[in-house]
This record gives sequence, C-alpha cells and structure tokens, in this order.
Amino acid sequence: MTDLNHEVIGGSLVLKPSRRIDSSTSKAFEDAASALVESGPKKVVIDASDLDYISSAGLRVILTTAKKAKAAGGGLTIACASANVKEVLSVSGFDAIFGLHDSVDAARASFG
Amino acid sequence: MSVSEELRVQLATVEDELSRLKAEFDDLTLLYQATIEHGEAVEDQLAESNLELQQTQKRLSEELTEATNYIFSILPEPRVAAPRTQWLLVPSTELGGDSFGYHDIDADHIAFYLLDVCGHGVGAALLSVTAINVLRSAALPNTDFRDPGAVLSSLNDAFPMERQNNMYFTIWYGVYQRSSGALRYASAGHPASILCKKEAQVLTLCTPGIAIGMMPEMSYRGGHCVIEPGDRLHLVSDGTFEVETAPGEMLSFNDFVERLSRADSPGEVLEWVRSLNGSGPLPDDFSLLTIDF
Repeated sequence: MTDLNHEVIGGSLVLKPSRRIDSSTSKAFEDAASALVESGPKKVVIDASDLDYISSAGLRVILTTAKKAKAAGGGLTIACASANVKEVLSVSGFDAIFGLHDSVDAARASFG
Repeated sequence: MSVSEELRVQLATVEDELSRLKAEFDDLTLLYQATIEHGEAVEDQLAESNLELQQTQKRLSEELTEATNYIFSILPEPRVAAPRTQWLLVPSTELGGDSFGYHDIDADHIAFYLLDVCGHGVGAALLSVTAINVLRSAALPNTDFRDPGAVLSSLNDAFPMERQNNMYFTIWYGVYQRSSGALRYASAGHPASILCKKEAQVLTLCTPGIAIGMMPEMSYRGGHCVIEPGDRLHLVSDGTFEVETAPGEMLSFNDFVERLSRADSPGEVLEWVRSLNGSGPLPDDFSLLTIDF
C-alpha cells in the first residue's frame, strides 16, 4: 500500500504528491511511484496542486519516474504547479522537457 | 502420637525444608557466579569491539579529511589581479557535491564556473572533482571552451547519469572576454548568477537547460551581456539560499539576491544565511564565488 495519492483517469496515472518532495520524502515518492507505474498505466501526470515545495532530491525522483514511464512506452508530464514549484521546474529545465499544464485534463490530452 | 514423636516429625520437616533451601541457595550462588563471569566476558568483548570501532572511525574520518583536503586543494587561489575573486565553500557534511573554478582559456578569455552534484558525500564529491578537472584541463573532445553552450552540450555527452552511478550535476559556466568586456554564459538546471552593475542595477543571468547527465543529446543555448569595470558577478549553488526562514517557509531567491547585492564579502552572506537557518549545519552546501571586474 502507498500513501501517495493517485488515481487512474482514462488510461493515465495521475500522481498527486502532497506538501513537499524533498530529501526526507523523495525516497517514499520514488518507491510508490515506481510500483504504481509498474502495475498501472505508463502515461503519468504529476498533479502538483497540493505541492508547496520541491527540492533537487524531488526533481531527481520525478526524473527517475519519467525515465521508468518512458522505458515502458509511456511518458510523464506535470500539471497545476504553483508559482514556487514552477520556478524550480523552470530553473531546472524540467518545464521544457516534461511540459507544464494548467489542468490535469490538458496534461492528459498532451499524451495524444 | 506423643509430644516427642510429634516434635521429631516437625524437626524432620524443618530439616527437609532447610536442605531444600540450601540446595536452592547453592544453585542460585552458581547461577550468580556464572552470570557475573558472563557479564565480565561480555564487558571485555564490548571493550574490544569499541576499540575496533574507534579505530575504524578514526581511519574513516582521516580518509574523509584527506578527501576534503584534496577537494580544497583543487579549488583556485583567489585572484588578486582584475578580475579579482573572493569565494567561500562550506560543505553541509564533511564532503559535498559543490565545486567551482576559473582559469584563462587564452590571453583574451577567462572562464568562470560553479557546479553542484546531486546529493552529498564521497560519491558526489568524486564526480564533482572529476568534472572540475575536465573543465580545467579542457579535456572534452572537439569543444570550443569559449562557447558556453557547446561546453555544456559536451559535458552532457561525457557524463550521462546512467554511467555515473545515477548522479548528475547542475552548472553555470561563463566566459569573459577582456578586450570587448563581453560575458557569454550558459546554465544547466542551475540557479542564475547575479550581476550587480556598478550603477546599482541587478541582473540575473541564466539560460534554460536541464542538469548535465539527466537526458541524452541535449543542446544548451547561451546568453550574453556586457561587463563594465566596477561590475560584480556572483556565482552560487542552490544550497547557498535554500534555507527555511520559518517552518515550511523557504527564503525566496529575490530576497536572497536583494541581500547579496548589498553584501561586501561572501563571509557576510554566509553569516546572514546562517542566522536565518538557526542553529545546526546548513541543509545543503554553501558556495559563493564573487568576481569583481
């Protein structure tokens, strides 16, 4: 069982981490996300609406999750990031690589 | 039964009870002695293990100190000729993933760079010094080291995370041309450098790009600006400003830039960041390289 909020919407796995992904929570996120991607859909949307802060350790586990999804024939994108989180995603170049969307629906639609 | 017979029986019962108690007492004495002996043996063992642990601890800590000395030994001396430099690097644990450098590429160009390997400890430090040595010795094939975008693309090809124990690093790399005053720069997942113009205007310099090693075949765009005598440039890592000002409240980059632009020296900035962080070590490496043109 995992504490990571998630649901499957129309063939996409929507992960909704809460509050922070930093060095103390990143391992739990990585393990939970990895298990969910393994057993569920490979098109992953990170719904960042409840996320206040993401550290470099958090970016790292988003990347490993994305690589896992991509290797399985899917992909990863990000939706509903707050201004703070958007800033980190933009400095890290993650916005260009994964895409940022205003809603989970728009993110899902980006998979085509 | 006569009174004397009754007494005899009672005496016999008491004698039985006495010998049973004596046997029990003997057993307990033996058990007590055995326990004491065992305790003493355990104590000896513990003392021996403790000694071994202390020796191992001492050896490891000597090796860590040695590694730290090596990292500090490859960091450049502050420049006294223009452009002048001052710097501070304070790892959050014995060994961090931050390092930086600067060197003359040719008579007209000088490169400045600061990088931050994800994570801390020996592994991160090893990659950090490897990357710095590669830059310092210009050891990337077919790369014009005066072209920051090209340098980052070559670094990205040379250090894919899959071949670096899943580690990657962020970097800011800039090249200053003395004759024209042009500064060309590029960054990969790294916080902006802060340019404090002589006339008090403050600019942040960064270009979009993902950290080195995360994704194959990335190209990095460069930016440029003009430096004038009296300008001051600060290169930083994210650990330099990512501290909590209150529980759950992170220091904003803008607030950091505002304070940094008023500071005289890296030491003053470190003192301020430490005062925000409260007691205890900073959560990440603190690195600040200040260049005066």
